[in-house]
Amino acid sequence: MRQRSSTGRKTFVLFNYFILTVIAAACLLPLINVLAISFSSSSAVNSGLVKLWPVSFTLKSYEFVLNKPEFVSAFIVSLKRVIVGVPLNMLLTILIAYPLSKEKSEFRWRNQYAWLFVITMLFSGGLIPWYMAIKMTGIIDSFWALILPGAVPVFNVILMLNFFKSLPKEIEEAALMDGAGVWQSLWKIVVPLSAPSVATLTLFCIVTQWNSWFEGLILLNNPDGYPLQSYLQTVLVNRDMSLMTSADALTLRSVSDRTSKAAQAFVAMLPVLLVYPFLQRYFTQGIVLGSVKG
Amino acid sequence: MKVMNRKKWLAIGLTGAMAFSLVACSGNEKTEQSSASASSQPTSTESSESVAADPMGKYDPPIEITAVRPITEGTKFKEGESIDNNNWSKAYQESLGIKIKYNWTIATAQYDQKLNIAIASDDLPDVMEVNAAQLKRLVEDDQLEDLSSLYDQYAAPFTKEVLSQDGGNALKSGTFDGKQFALPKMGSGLGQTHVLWIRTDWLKKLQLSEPKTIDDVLKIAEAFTKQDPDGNKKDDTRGLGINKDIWGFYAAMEGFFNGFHAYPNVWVKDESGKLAYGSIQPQMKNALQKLQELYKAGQIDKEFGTKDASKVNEEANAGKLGMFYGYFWNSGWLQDGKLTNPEMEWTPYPLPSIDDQPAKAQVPFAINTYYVVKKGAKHPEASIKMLNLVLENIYGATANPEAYNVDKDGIAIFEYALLYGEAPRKNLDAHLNVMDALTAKDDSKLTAEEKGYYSNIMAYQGGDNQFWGSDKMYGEKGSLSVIEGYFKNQSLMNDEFFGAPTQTMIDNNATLQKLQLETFTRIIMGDSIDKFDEYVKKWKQLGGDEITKELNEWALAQK
Repeated sequence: MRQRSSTGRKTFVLFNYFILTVIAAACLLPLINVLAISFSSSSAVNSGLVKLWPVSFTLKSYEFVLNKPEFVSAFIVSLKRVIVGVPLNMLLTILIAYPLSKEKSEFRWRNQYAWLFVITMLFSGGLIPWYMAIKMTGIIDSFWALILPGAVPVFNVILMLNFFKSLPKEIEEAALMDGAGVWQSLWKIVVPLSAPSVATLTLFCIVTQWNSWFEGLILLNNPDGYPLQSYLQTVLVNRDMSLMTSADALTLRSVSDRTSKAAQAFVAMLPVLLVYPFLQRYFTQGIVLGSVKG
Repeated sequence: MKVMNRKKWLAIGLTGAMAFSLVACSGNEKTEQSSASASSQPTSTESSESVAADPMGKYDPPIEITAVRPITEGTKFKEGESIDNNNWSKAYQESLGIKIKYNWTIATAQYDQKLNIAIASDDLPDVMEVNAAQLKRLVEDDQLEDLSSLYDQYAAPFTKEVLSQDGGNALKSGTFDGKQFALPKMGSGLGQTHVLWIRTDWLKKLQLSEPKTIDDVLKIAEAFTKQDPDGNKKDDTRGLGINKDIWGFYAAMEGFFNGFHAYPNVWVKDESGKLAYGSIQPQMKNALQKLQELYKAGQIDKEFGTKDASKVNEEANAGKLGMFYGYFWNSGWLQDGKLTNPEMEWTPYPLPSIDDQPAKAQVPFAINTYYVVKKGAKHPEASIKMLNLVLENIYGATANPEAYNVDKDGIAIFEYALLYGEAPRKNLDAHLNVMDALTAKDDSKLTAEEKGYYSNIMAYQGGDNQFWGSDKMYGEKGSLSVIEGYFKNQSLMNDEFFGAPTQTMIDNNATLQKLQLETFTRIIMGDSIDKFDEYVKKWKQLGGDEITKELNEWALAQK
């Protein structure tokens, strides 16, 4: 089907592309700036000469970053976190969403259970009770402190639940008629049919696991076990200059480490940037499927 | 009927949940209180008996102290070392028999947050560092050990000397109702006074003289803006640098205001001897008026409101800026500019004044960190002993700075020490000693740190621009010589308030600071100067009067 091309339509398309280009540029330019800084020499950066293209090109900061043991170990912790955390997130999401997607006639306490989860989204205990609760479980200062407190992403559960609900009931009924058990029907029928939403939620989980930094800072007792983003937070955050002592000033005198900061920020972005294109396929598919089936 | 029932159950359940959470909360409070009172009973009496009060005495058998601490970003360790195993942890163990166990460590920027959680969840170590507000809160909650008599017994003479080198205000600020609860982390207020940095190569090129008065400053700013000092035939240079916060350590305006005998953000004595807030005094108005004129004439960056210190620094290094007020170590930030363009030359000058009265540089209160001991800690005197050891090993008569301060590879070993402090005059003395050594051509009398500056300056004089920044600080015409001048002529204005923030300050300071920044930024950008009077009125209404009253009561109590 070809579009009719009236003048009005043409201006609209033109205008559309223009706006989208501006928005895309606004998203891309800071990234490119960071990239350019990371490839430039530090004296050029501190003189404010670097815009979108590296000035006096050098790989020094990448060499520095990749030889920095803290950075490498934090990177590994983050990878571990994604490898352990995301499957656990998804497993729990599916196991919770599936029964909750059933009608009340099939699962009598469905609503009560659903509320139990939703309440945790609406109300939180606050930072101190949260901290104390985790402390009492004894997982503080261990790798599991990064995984277990956030193991059930309730928001994802609700998204999953709604997707399960939208699947035609008849398919599952047919499977049950043919003798499949509940487990079989979940793993062989429901989950494969929900591939787009599973992929989308997996992406959400990966991004959340990769990006969260706060738990690391609060729940771990020393920087050795920090995941990458907690580590970056300590490196990149702007310091409160009003609290600076002259001893700190000593370290600041040799401040010009912006290039290595940029390199670290960029390396930290890479994994998520790399994962995106692979999962994006499912992203669009998920939307299309939804719209066709209604 | 059934529906009705459900709803009832839900209601009962929810009420139950609420009641439970209430109980849980109050239960918590109770345990907190009881644990506090329980731990307060066995106090210091026994420990002071067991060991004779020897400031450097060794514990035998060794003891273990728990602690938490921030670690400055970028702290480096030598191979195989860590915060638990380094020169300082060894020194504590070998000289004092103290083993430190860190409950947790964290980067400086997040320390306050994590410590607040620890305070709230009653999870304190024996020794920790706190800020003034946290100190006050802990004292009010009766969570800290009273160190008064222990300090008298255990502090070494040198420690007492360093801690009272600022006239005793530092110690007083950690004292509540006559009881000393904290050891201040000493720092240098003098190191936070402003000097005027000027591109002297431009000054020479345009045949201008060095600034003596504010009028000279204004003339220079105009010339640097209009007469194309970099000779590229473009209108791309600016006279005076200013950062978006207006105040601070680089391209900040305190020094400019001081030239008008105005003292923003500090407390000064008015004619009647009472404490008054510097930012609301009438002298401020004149300074703001002049800044407005500079802005109008394009001598201040039109977009200064969006540029922080490091952005302004980029412009200075790129050769777009000719003058700014800042701290003595700012030449370190200009080092990159000097390397890119060896012609570039910055020289620090003392603050010019508006009239024939010399300008007084304002000196902020330098202590913002305190070391405290948890109430009921088994060895409360251990922290004092550790501080003795630190000051002695870094600055004392038997000091070994190479092992304990900064080693020959430039690794900052002092960062590993749990308690730390810097003699307020350290940098100034270093400058004077280095100058003596340079005249005598003999560095044998210098400490290791000073030897470093000495060799840097020698290298710079030998033509190595890499050490230009050091020369501009510690060298003959360096910024420290300017500050030494302030000190000699007593052209200094101390912040008269050095206590913990009062309740009204804690509640309102953020609002008042914001009000001030907004008003001043607007005035500089062209708003009517009468807005200043409005600001003064608002400041008083929004808690300023209350704070003034509280601080005057505090001042009376200090006498």
